[in-house]
Amino acid sequence: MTGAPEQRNVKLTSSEGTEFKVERDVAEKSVLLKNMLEDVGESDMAIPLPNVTGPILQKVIEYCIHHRDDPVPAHDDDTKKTDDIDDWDAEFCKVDQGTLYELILASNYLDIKPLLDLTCKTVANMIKGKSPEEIRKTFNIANDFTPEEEEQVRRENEWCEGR
Amino acid sequence: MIYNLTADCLNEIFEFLNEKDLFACLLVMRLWCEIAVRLLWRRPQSFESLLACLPNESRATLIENGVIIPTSRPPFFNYVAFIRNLRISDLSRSINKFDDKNKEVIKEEILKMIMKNTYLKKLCIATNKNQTNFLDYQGREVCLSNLSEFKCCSNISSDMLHKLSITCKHLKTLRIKLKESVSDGLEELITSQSNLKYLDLRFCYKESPIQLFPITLTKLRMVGVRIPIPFSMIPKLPNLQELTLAILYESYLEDFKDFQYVSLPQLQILKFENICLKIEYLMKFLENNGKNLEELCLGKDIKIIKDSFYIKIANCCPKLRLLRTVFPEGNLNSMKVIVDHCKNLKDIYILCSNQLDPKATFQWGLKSSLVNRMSSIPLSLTISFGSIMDVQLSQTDITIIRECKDLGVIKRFVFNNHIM
Repeated sequence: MTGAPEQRNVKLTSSEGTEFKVERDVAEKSVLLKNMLEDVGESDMAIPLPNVTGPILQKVIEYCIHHRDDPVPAHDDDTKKTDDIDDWDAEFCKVDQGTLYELILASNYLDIKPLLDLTCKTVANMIKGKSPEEIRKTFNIANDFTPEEEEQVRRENEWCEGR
Repeated sequence: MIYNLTADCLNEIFEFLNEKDLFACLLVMRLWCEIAVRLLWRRPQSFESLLACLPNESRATLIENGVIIPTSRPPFFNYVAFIRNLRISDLSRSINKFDDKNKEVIKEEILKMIMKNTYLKKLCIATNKNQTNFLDYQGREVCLSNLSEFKCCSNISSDMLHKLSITCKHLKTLRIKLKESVSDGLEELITSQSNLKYLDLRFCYKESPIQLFPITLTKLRMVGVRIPIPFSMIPKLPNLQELTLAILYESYLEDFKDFQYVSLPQLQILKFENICLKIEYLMKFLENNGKNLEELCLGKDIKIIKDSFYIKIANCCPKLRLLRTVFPEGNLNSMKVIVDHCKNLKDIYILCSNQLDPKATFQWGLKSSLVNRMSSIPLSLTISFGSIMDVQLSQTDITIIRECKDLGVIKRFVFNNHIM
């Protein structure tokens, strides 16, 4: 833990103006905030996050606190596994679909790669093994292809069916 | 609601899907289709669709040569622009159904199109037979200057390797199958790289004449297919973090004598595929290089492990996170010392060999050590008996595992593929 005694709190303001206080090392899990804090230096001003609502920011902070001591993930790794979600993370993602999407958007905006990966994996696991129709049902998506277009896309990619 | 997700985020999600699932996403709706198709076609999918992307001048060339390709309406996407990973042999295989006299011209036109319309991340030229020298085609600079992985056999033409050396300066991964002959261009290709991280060498016929290994290398895998692995090169890699050795014949083991003296101060991962090194050499090696080691995987063909080996690991590898080993001589108790000393240990995989008497397996002296770990990271313990599937856990074993799980010192216990 980087819990040096002089560690300052960082203030964040959600889209509706709610203020959150977090310790600096927790805030720095977000690359966006880390860079901002480095540029701004010590300041008592709250950092406005107009793209993130209070409840979502609360969740994001909860995640960052739990993972505050995790090592910075290596980036050159291109193996994308989805079966390596640990219990705490799985429990963290047991939220409704809307919240999950907002978490994806927030972690993308705040640039918190491990949280983005976790939430994207969770959605990917909801897609896996399903037919196009089942996917549409799961995510409540309307099919906007014309029948001809759908047929053409299917035909042009036919080779991978049944692999 | 998922409509709220930006294309960026959908792309992040789709990155976790395999080709079968990407194909399903393709047909969900237009936006999904446009994102999924780019990921799906990183590797060429339907050869017919690839042919459909051929520009008019290529079609004209093919007709001149008497090749009739079915004319269809323009493809839904310009699929060729999405290709990132190209294996020349896959292309050759797809072309096989055409007459012999036509194969070459079709392959040439397809390669011309690829060179002109996309940029590649991975390229594989697995054989030196009938290689079209497509590196002369227009577009080489754009197509190949960002290549990050290249795989080839050692005998492809020096001319091709030379052109790659000039064009591709940013390779991260290089996989080479060392055949009976080695092109001059290979060394040039290796030395022209400024940031090569991973080298994967398969020694098929002879020792590598390559002496220059970039100092940037962090990961090395060497497979000794027919000849011993030349260890003389390893001491020249001060940044190496991961080393995988695949020894295929026991008769080579004596050649590994020098391995114990190799110095790799940054080593974090050491893996043996198949046969493992002689234990006494490995122990000496760990004495020199164990202090940063986080993963140690011993090959499945290792025979007997003595208690002294575990004591050595416990003393030399304080940072160990993952251990893959075989069932210790005697019983599990001899692993106690590792559980006691390696506080970061998270995963233990134990493979049990056939010689083991299943009744003499568990003696849970380990339990007290596990309980002592209360404040450390919970363990995940996997025990596999491979072919002897009828081995059962006794009631006592099950009770102890339950207790450990309740205490939170064992996170996951897998026994013969059953998760408890």
